[in-house]
Amino acid sequence: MATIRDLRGRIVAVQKTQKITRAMKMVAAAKLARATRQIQAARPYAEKLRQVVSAVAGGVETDIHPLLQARDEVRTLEIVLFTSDRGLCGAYNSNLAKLARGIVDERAGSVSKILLTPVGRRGGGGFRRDRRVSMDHTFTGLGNVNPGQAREIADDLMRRYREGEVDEVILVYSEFKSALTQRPGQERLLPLQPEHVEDAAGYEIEPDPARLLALLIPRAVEFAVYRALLENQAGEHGARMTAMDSATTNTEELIGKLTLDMNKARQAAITAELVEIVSGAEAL
Amino acid sequence: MPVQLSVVTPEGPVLDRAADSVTAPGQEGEFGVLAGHEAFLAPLVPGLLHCRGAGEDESICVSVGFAEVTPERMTVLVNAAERPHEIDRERAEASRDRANERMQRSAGEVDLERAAASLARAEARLRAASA
Repeated sequence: MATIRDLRGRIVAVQKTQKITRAMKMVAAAKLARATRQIQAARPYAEKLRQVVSAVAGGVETDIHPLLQARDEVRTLEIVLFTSDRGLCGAYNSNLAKLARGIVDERAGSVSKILLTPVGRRGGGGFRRDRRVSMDHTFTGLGNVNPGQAREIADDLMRRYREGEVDEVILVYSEFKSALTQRPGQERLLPLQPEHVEDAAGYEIEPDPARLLALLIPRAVEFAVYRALLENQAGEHGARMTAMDSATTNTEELIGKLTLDMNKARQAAITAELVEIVSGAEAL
Repeated sequence: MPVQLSVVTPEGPVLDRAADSVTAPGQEGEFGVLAGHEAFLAPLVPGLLHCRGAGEDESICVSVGFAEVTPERMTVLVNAAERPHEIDRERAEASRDRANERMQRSAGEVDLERAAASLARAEARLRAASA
């Protein structure tokens, strides 16, 4: 049986863990607030960009721009898997990896090559031994996301698509619903499909639609990547906050149980001592 | 009647105000917008956006993007926008010099294009800072 001293030591250890999980929860909450603000700040831009792109691209043939053109046969599929750089956020990363694996399972038969590009350090691990995918590119060390990072990633993706290295690009990232729910979701990035809007405003376009689209479409792709980064960032902090909250609750339970055990052990020791004294006195 | 001008970037709205006239750095040259302008859409290059009247005159430095104009509104969608007093002169100068250097050395066409774009951005910021 554990001695009183052992139990006291364990209680102290669990209390230290609790301090850490509690602090991590608070840090995650603060970061989540900032990430949510970033998402909200991006909303007006997103809305306007969507309107403009659909107004211009909706009325033209897809052969006007290479990034709108779908390939007749998809030989190489690129999956961009957004995950976090750090762990300790519950099942967050494994849920994303699971979704990505589902896509791989589904498409592996029909395409000749699948490129998996993890964004964030926690994405690639599970696929390292998967023969069906090759990981040639990775992006890590994101920190607090900014549009510059999105541009860098998007430039790479667009170049590969243009040069025919890949025929389709899918983004897998966590859609941010609220602090408590993150749902892994997927979105086809390339070829780009502009939404059809009914009330598309008639614009006079300068210089002409083709040249305007040549500038507009890369912006739209960059922004789609930026949004994925933002939602993913918010999802990560939300997931970590939830995970650390339940970890803190668990340590509380554990401390309660250990304290009970310790008190029992102490009482047992006192009883044993009393019995010794009493039987010693009787012997006299 | 003034035109309602808003400048938005992926990092958030920068400006939302009424103005009597707006001048923007279009790809085909600078253009002016007054209220009642015909609806049109034009690409922008890095440069200065001026707005006058209906409040204080103001200039802000924009990077590449688009302007969407309707008779009542003008919406400017750009990658980045800064007010002149927010511009860090030293950083802008450093990035201009770096871009210049890259233009000298760059081999590929893509590199050259990128260097030219970053040079244009840096120069626009410097012009804005000294305006």
